[in-house]
Amino acid sequence: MAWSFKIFPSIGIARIGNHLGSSPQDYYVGPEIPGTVIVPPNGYKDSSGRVLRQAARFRIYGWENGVFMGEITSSVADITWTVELANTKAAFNRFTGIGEPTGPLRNASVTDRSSLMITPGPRTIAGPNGDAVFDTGLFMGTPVPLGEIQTDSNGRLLVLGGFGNSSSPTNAPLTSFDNNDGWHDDVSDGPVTATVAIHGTHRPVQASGAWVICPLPRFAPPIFHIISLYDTLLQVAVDRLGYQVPYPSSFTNDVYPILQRAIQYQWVTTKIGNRHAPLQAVIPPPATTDQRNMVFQQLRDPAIYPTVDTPHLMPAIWTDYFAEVFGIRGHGSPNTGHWANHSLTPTQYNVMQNWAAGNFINDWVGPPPPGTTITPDGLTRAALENCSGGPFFPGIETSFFTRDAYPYVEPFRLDGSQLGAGDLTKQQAVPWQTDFFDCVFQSPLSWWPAAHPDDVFTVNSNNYVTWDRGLNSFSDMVNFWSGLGFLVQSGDTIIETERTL
Amino acid sequence: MLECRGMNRRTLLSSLVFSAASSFTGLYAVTDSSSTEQTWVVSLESFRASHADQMPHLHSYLGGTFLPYLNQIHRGPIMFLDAIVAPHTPQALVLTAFPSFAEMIEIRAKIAAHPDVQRARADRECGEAQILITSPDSLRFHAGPTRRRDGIFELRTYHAPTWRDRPPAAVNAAFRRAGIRPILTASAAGEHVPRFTFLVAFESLAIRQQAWESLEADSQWSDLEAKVTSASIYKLAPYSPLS
Repeated sequence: MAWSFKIFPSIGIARIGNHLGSSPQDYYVGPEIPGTVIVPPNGYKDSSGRVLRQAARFRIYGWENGVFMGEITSSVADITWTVELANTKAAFNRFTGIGEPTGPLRNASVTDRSSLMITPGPRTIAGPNGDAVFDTGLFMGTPVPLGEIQTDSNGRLLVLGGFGNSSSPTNAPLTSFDNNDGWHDDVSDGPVTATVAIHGTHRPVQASGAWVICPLPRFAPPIFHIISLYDTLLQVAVDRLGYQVPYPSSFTNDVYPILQRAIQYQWVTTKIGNRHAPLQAVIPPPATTDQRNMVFQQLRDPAIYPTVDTPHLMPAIWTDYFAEVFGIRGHGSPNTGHWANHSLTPTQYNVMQNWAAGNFINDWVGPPPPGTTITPDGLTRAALENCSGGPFFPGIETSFFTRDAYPYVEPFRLDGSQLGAGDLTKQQAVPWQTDFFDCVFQSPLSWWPAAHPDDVFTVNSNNYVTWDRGLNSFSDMVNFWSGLGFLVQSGDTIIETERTL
Repeated sequence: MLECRGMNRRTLLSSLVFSAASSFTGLYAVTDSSSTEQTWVVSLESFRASHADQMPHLHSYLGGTFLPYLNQIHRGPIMFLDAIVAPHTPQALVLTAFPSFAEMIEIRAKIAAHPDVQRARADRECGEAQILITSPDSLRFHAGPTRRRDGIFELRTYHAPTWRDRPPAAVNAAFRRAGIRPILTASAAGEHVPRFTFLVAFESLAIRQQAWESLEADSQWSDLEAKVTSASIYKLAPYSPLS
């Protein structure tokens, strides 16, 4: 009777926040069921305007002789978790675009490279109600806490990330959106492993490992990325692992989410406004062939080389080959008329193409309500669908390496044996706030309006206002990021709340 | 099996009755094949909660509303189980045995009509239900020592095409050699699939592990060509009768 175990989500997301507490009321657990939006009972900030951290909760699922048994908790097993978090951004290559993955080093003049790496090392906790803190990492000799891990009363793991602290021990200036020598932040990532011994067996078994990323906060939880990290890594599974996507597609589960995400962008950019009204015309299905084709023909074909302009095609977000489009590093490029946009993934595009041709299951009974059941695959999907799947210039939660280079042992599960803590965030901007400041609408296209809204509505305004109004420099974003508002559903609208700037 | 997902949870019970009734023809096909033997009908009904903190409320309903009324109108075996390892958790499982299919329908209809049950079930999350067929000598909820209250129960289903209508004697023999003593052996009602379900009591997870390992090592068991299709582990709910 051989047991095997896997950790889910296979990639979990724990978001940083500057509220310092670590009791259950001091954080909230991120989405665990696809399609759900977590709104903490008292909002995303504390009474002082500090942002609560989002914890990533990991669970163990067990199979006995290949038969799925369910979640394994401390009521039936001894579970020992080990997590390692690291931030190695400052010791990695300068970001120069995804076509240049091996650029010169950041902080090239620093010979003690280890002094640039915030590596507190692994932490291990066994059983329920445990905790351990990642408080021994240093950047140029300065302590940089990266967060902590806890176990709940059932032995599930909770990972809490950093506190949004970015600084320069050398008082270096912030000069670029991506590479700022002498600076650090406290986002991190690393492997999550566990051993499991069913009570009475006395044979600990290594669970198939997971990974955790601790990126910046998600300020617009109701807005999903048109290309989420789930979509991107599903494409990785198709391309590299032979994963087969069900055919024909479901309108409700496959087509509608793409349409709905595009429609929802009206709440985060004035550039859309009511221009996506034609999408409403194809809901409910089937719509006419002409209507479906009219929508599909607006989409950029992913087979087109990334640097080629496709004027006015959708989605209206920049390619992650931005630097190549302009023949230079992209930052600060004037509008030269390029419309080199990021395409949907080939799988998303195929779904839309087949839908346009009438090859889909019309299972529409209305917008699908969020699920109510936690499942292993649902845990992973819920985590990843809240992350950006592109463009990776260099990206929000992780970089192009996660899509293009890193190995997977199964769909959505990285091969931890070939990666180190910090690898998933090392190519991100340092500090993250400079890229986040810069990644606004850059005519004629947007960057990540679901991560950094361009324009929003407030409770008192029927007109768009700039979301990051009042922040005018890299330094402003470093110092005042937690004052930015969070977007919440309010009836049929999505509005900004909790702005404290 | 009745899949409740997506169904209005308030219609669970009526759907269960309907589902069972729709299996009527198949059920009688099963019972007719052994018309000289008495059969028992076993209902397995699961109730799921979204979060563990909802379970006290669920158990309050099952132990405080459902069970007292069931005791008034039903004399057959009953068990209330709480899942500790199952594909869907948190979950409670109610096993109720009836001497006939008609009696099951009648009692379920009475329960469904009871105002307190209707009121309580309006707030319940639905799960799923199975109807199984067993013989009296394969239904031993009451058997065994009282220490079972501290032990565990495993609901385990096999796909075994060579077993035909019921587990052959060699199955029980292999189980005995491994120390496995099912308190329920049943087949799916109204289904022409070789699917057999056992409810087995173990004193502990360790003893369970040893028992199944012993069975797996038994060459005569291997010859029986049975494949596990599902397994769930439970503990007895505090209010559950042992019979």
